[in-house]
Amino acid sequence: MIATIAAIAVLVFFTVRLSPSDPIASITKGKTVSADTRQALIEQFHLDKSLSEQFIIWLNGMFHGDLGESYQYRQSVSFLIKQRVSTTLGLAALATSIAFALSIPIGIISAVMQDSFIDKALSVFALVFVASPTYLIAIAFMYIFALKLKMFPSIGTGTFRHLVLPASAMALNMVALSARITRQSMIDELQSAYMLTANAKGLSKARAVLVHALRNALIPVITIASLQMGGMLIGAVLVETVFAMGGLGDLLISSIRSSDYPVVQAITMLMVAIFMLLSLLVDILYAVIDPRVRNTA
Amino acid sequence: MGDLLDIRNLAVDFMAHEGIMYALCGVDLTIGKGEIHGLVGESSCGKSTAAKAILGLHNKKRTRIKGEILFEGSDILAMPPREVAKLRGSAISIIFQDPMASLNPLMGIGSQIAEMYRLHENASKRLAREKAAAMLEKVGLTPSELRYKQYPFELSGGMQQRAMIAMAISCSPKLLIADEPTTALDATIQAQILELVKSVSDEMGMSVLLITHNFGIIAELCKRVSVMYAGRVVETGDTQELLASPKHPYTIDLIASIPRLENSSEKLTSIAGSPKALYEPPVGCQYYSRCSRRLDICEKQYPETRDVGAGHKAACHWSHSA
Amino acid sequence: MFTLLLRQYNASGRKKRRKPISASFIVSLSIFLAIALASAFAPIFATHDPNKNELASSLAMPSALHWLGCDQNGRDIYSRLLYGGRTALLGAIGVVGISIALGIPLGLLCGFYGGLLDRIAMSVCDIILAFPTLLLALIFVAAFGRGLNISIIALGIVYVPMLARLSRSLAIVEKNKPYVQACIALGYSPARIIFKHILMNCISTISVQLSMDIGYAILDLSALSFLGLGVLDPTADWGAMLSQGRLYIMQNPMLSLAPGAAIVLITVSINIFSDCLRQYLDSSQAKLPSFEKFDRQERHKHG
Repeated sequence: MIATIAAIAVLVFFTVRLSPSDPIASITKGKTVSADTRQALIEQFHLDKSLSEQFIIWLNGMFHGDLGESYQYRQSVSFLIKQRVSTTLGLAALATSIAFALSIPIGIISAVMQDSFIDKALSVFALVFVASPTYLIAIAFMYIFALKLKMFPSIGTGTFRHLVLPASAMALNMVALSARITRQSMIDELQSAYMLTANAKGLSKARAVLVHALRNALIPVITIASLQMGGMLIGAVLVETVFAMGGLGDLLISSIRSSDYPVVQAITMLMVAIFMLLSLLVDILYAVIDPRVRNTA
Repeated sequence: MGDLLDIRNLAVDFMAHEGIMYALCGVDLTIGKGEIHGLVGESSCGKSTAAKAILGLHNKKRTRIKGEILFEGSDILAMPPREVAKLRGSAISIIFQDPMASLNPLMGIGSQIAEMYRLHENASKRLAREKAAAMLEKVGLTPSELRYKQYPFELSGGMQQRAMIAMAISCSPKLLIADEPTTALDATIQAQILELVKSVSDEMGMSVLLITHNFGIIAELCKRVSVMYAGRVVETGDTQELLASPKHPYTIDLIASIPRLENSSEKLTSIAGSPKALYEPPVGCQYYSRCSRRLDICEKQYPETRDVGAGHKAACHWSHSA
Repeated sequence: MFTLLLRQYNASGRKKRRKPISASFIVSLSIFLAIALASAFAPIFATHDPNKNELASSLAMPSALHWLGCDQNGRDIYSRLLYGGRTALLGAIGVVGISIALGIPLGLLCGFYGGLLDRIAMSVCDIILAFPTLLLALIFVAAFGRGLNISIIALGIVYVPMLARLSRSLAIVEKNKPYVQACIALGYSPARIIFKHILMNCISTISVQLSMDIGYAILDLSALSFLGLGVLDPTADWGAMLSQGRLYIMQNPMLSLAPGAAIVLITVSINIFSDCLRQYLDSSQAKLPSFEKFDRQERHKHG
């Protein structure tokens, strides 16, 4: 894991620094500056040093909580991130909660009522929203609920009401995908031998499904969910763009556009770290659910 | 009659990719109280289908069931689903071939047994726990405090099957269906498991429907035996009588194909061909194509089941005409 | 004897029982082909030059002249939609093509040989997979500049690990089957064994994955364009059209609606297509009618 993080740090830093664009131009926003100022900036941002030296400085800084200084804002990167991180995390957390609260019941209902009208209707719903890009749903929600019905604010951030539409838009895509996976996984479990035993024991259908099958069915759902978490962070980037929420996503995109490498590097590393942390949590969750995993761990 | 279970003319059809599969085409079977009844036949002759039909475990959408299954005089097939569910586990239990797959992998075996007492006897959590531990003790899973907490994957095949048996007999059912309970186990473990089934049956006065393809097991344990071929019971009788003087050619051929220790010089015979699944309603006797004693009538008309001795019945034109 | 065994295995691997092709299979394939053909022959079907600005008809609503109206620069939306289809499909083919060219050989070789090559390649894959899907593509774009070509290459690389892992696991399964042992015993060259025999037997599973990847590639490429990092103006692209259209959503919702619907339609049809393909190749997933339905059909048949 530490090796992976190190490899990722190398990959992120050197890929970004391979860029042919001139950092000074990003710092000065394209304005011409005197040779003295230019020299001062080069020294300030360590651009006179070799790439590997810069990498060491960057790495060393990260260990001390210093992520460098933004080219475009001329502010410390950690300050910029601190300002915005709660928006993005709040958005992701709310969306994930909505997604799980909806997708698992939907998946169970579809599986238990397999091939019924309700199952077919839910499947069509899932099929359409799996195929709908998050930003499209976000735009549609904004148009319908904010601009037309005026139920929620269309842009900005700060209150819970600001979060509702973006989080729902993000969740819908996940709901569709997880519901499909829950359904399939549940159908597989319902056909398993131990479910035959559960029936033979005389258990009520509800108990057989919710107590016996569900726990088994959740294992593949969790696997996919951990991969989806990565998609969630990207989903947040897209949704923040639509709703102009000024979160990490907005910052990342504007930094890429203006070649603000310290910010790009920092946000990328942060997102990878969050993603890895979530994967770790999922591994722990596996062990909680599945005694076979607990034993080998 | 003192029969616990009386199956009359049971027919089961499945929806399959190839068309409608006629799995059972009129099965008659009776099991007396406290009796261990053997059901023997080749693979896919419908033994397990019959077992699942008794408990109503088939997928209702893809299965069509006709006939009567009288349990203590009332027809299970005519009962509302709620009533059938009440019978399951409390009056009729089943154990399957593959205990590993048949136990919930994510639940401790103790809890899986305790669930039975919670459900059927409305026992408190604590009482259910105590009773489940006692049941583990009874089937030889000791020390029960340790076994209670273990998961199926932590047990050997034999121990898993013991746990299955403990679960099945926990609420003292009147009938235990054992669907090839030892096929997946080692030979030495087989004997132990069968011994357990027999002792439990004797002790609790429980009837057992023992499904197997092994005549040796039948001879050792069963009072009576029914032989199945292609979705029908072709011969029924007391085990000793039936083994000594089989009347149906299939039974005769089946017994002739069992290797015997006492006269190993004798050449083993095998039955040529194999039964095939039926995708059309059968006409005549299905054993016709493999039978060495066939008559012309066998191809066109299915023989009726007649008494051929004391409590011995067979369905065969050849034996009827002899 | 070995050759016989080999022939049997290859035959059993390829020949499957004929199964009826479902209606959704045909419908989804037709929709996909219709969009593909309309895009391929965009110059014939288009009513206007997709890049010609007509400021007079800026943000015009749908009319007989402009079927879906015009965007903020007065460009015909319908025509841009057709050309956008080209961008989406060619881009997706490019992405999947790159991932095939790198991922499948890499996966098969790793699976077949194992060892150091396998360990190194798989750790590289792990590193790539540690990035949330689009993030790595975003970094590549950040480094090498915006544009369609860079986006295609970046996404292509991002797609490699998944495909490599799939082909690797399939190759490991196939490697241990008797027919491969027979090939080795017959002295076939490893290249022949890997790329003829093993690949032939994995191709159906891989093709399902590839058909799904096309759908994902369309979504991901349009997302990059939406963020203004992929396709650049004036090239017509659905994602870019959406990104600009949302600014004028109150004036002409068609600006966002049309490319959005196009993306959803093509992705849905691809998803249904790959579902059907999977069901067709895996008989255990095929559906059976219930007896109730069967009886109804029978009654219907016999009057």
